[in-house]
Amino acid sequence: MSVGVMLGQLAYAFINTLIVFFLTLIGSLPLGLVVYFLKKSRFWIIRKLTEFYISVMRGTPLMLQLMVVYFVPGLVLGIKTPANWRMIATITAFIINYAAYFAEIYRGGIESIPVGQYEAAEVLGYSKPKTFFKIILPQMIKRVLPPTTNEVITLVKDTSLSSTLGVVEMFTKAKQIAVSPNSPGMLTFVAAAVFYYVFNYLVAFVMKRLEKALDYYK
Amino acid sequence: MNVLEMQNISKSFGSNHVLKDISISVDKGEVVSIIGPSGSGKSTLLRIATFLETLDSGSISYMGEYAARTGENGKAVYAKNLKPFRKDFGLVFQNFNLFPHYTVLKNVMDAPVSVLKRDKNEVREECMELLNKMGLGDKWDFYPCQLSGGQQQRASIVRALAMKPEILFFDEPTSALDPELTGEVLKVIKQLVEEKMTMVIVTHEMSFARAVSDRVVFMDKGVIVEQGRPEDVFGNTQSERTRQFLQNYNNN
Repeated sequence: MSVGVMLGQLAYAFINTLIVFFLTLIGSLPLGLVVYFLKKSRFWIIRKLTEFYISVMRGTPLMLQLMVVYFVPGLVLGIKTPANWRMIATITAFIINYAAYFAEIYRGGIESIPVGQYEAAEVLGYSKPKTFFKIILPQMIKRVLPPTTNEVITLVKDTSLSSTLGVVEMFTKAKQIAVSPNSPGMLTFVAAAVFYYVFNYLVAFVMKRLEKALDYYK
Repeated sequence: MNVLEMQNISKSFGSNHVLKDISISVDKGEVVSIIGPSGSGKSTLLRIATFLETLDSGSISYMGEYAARTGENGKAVYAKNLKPFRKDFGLVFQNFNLFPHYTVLKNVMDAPVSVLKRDKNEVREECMELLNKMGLGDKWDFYPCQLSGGQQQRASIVRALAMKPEILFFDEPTSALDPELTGEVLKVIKQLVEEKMTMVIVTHEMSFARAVSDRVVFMDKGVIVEQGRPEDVFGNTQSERTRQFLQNYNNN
């Protein structure tokens, strides 16, 4: 196998990496906010359940969570899983895992906003939802960008865990190529590393631009 | 008519009895200054008047309408919907509390437009006029972080005025400012005095309170110790405690 073919195959498998990456973000960034609200719920039981959920997500390996999401519906609950269940289960596990982390990041951001902002809004007659979406959320987003960048970069590398459920993303493909006869061998892993590095470089660049864009106020 | 009437207000934080059966009313066009040592309950009184704290017992009414009154069990009961009352008052904070992600104009315009649902162009015109009057006409597109403390406080006064309140509360509006900036904020408040704006000002600026108030209220340990015309409270002090406070003030 030539280096060109190897790169082509990696690039093709990278599409799956991108799918896992973007769908996870699209799902978990807003879900994190929902989880934050559940954690702040008026109801004791909802607060406790949410806390438990967050602690399990943070306290157990993502690889294990992938397996639980994949096996529990079919083997334990006896639900017939769809054909592309590997991909669906993978993305689902990623989303619920990352939402827990994002919820905690959001909490840090929201709690760092001075109470005076809420009071000013209240006296001016803003409703609670208006206060949150117009006054608090925009300031929260600015404050959570740096820790969110960290998580997003971790996610890029975590996508390699998709192989747990047999989703062939870029790194799984690299492992397959490396052990196949007449392959470029270790060079395949070097190429895989370059893929990750370049993509993360782009992620960091975009996040930096976002931070800059919100730099117009303190 | 009394714009604000607070009767028999009591408030405790745990075992700390902050306000003890305080009654105060403010007439239309009246300027009332509240002075007193730290911890005397003056800020808490303002926070109760603006619903930022709930009262334990007593009553609050604006323009003759009860926002809260003591119920049968002796505890205060609030009106089901406080929203209409919020239109009656404005509050200027010690720390300004402008919204940092909005420009000065957006800070000032947003509540009239999005809370009162008023016409945007009309509000913008009014707000620009107010900003001009407060000497901020050229700063309308600045963000709060680009302004001095005095300018921020003037912007927050405009923000409160843009809601066209019946009464404006000031919670130590100059305490976060150096003497020079204090002067420019006091000038703006003086301007409002001349326009017969109804105001309650919690302040440590004694000479200012003396100069602009119709009535001065001295509070200590949760009670009103003395109140009256400024020349009486400052010049012909009745209570020993007030005298002591004013003397300490003059010495510093």
